[in-house]
Amino acid sequence: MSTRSALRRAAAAPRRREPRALPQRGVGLKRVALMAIVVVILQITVMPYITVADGIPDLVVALVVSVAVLRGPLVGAVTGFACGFIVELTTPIGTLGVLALLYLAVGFWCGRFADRPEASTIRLPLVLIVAGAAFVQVGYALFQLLLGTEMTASVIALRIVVPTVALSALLAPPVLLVARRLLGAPMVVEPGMLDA
Amino acid sequence: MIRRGIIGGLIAVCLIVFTAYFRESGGGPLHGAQQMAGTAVMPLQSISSRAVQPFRDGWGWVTGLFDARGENEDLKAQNAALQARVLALSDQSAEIARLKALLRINDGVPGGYTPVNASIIGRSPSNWYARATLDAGTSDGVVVNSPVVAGAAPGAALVGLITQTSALSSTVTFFTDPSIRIGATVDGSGGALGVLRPTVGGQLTMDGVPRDYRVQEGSIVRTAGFSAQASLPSVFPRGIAIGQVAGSGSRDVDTFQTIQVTPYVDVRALSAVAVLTPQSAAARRRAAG
Repeated sequence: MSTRSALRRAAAAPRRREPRALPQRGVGLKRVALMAIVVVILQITVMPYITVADGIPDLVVALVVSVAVLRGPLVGAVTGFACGFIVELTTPIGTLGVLALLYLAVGFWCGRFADRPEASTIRLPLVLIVAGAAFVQVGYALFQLLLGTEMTASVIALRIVVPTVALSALLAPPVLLVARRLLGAPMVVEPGMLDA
Repeated sequence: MIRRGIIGGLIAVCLIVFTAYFRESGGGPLHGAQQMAGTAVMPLQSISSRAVQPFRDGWGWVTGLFDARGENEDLKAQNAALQARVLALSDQSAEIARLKALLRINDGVPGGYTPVNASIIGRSPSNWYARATLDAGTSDGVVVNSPVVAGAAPGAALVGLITQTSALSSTVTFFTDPSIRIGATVDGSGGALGVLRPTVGGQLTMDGVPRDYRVQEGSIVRTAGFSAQASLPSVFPRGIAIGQVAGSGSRDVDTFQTIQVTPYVDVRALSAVAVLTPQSAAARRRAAG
């Protein structure tokens, strides 16, 4: 009786959809470079005008995490370094090398998730994007505190860090989806593969 | 092993670059490279700035609605007093006032300076630095420490100063940047002098004004012509309007009062400014620091 009713319940229950496997698309470094260029251009031209409190959305971190999760720590770190350096070089910002270091760290750390099965899902990269955005903002805030900024920690947290992380999380899904479409299934890229 | 080497190398590059960047002067090679790269992407920023203008206006409208909701309670209290005046105003007269303010961008420009009009073509992608890129540079006479003004109700009102220049572009640091301090005075206060510094939300605070001075709400705050070190001349000439007194206060034990100042110009919504390029010997000395 109990076995039969369990079978009936199982048949009646909606079948859980298996996540669709992402296609294999090769290393795709040219696609990574193309996405990086587009995202950096958007970051330096459009994003500064989208503000809530003192927060500005961070598209770069969304790209770096997406690339890192799909192509591993090396490509993630190099993408982070390059994007951060270009952003600092081309905009009226008072630092050089700081954002590059922070994005590099995010790319390297998130790249370590590339060989896990969850790398193919949407949820893990989104969580990592939020964590990465928070890491970059807190890291930059600590750097500013070292430089002697007069902003208090509460102002930094409420007016800059929280709005920036929230806006970055809101704008992250499109970046992630484009990255998944262009790069396909996760693959850890090692230096040897680049020679081949 | 190779991976670790590459990543270690990149980390070393970051550390070397930012250490060198903070050790060198504003005219050093890394600052120069930054300025050059900024100039290289200037056309792109200029085009995209125009392209996103409608979206910026739309976003400004949306965020303006949220701000308005936050201010609703205060406005209710003021509503009764202002209702008669508000009824007399129409959208058309507000638009005329705004256009008149824009036209007055060159009013009240201090002697010894020539205004050079410039458009904002790029902004800092981080709110840690309240800076923007202008499409005017040394070829237009812009030099480092040139004051920057914008049109406002009383004429030209201060928005910041030039901190970096290249041939075709320059960087303006707004008064909302944490690094900016402005020696200021209050009209009608009998010569109250103090130092303005930015606080949150684009507001300013004036410190160092003795409690003896009576400062009235609504009084105009202007540049005093001296620097935060009091006895030294400031890069800002005397008499440029900055904002209005929004309130003041002090504790019984305080010798000085703190004055809240609402700037005439919201630098976050600016699209055009005038750079005051020094022409006279005195103005050039000020700019030279």
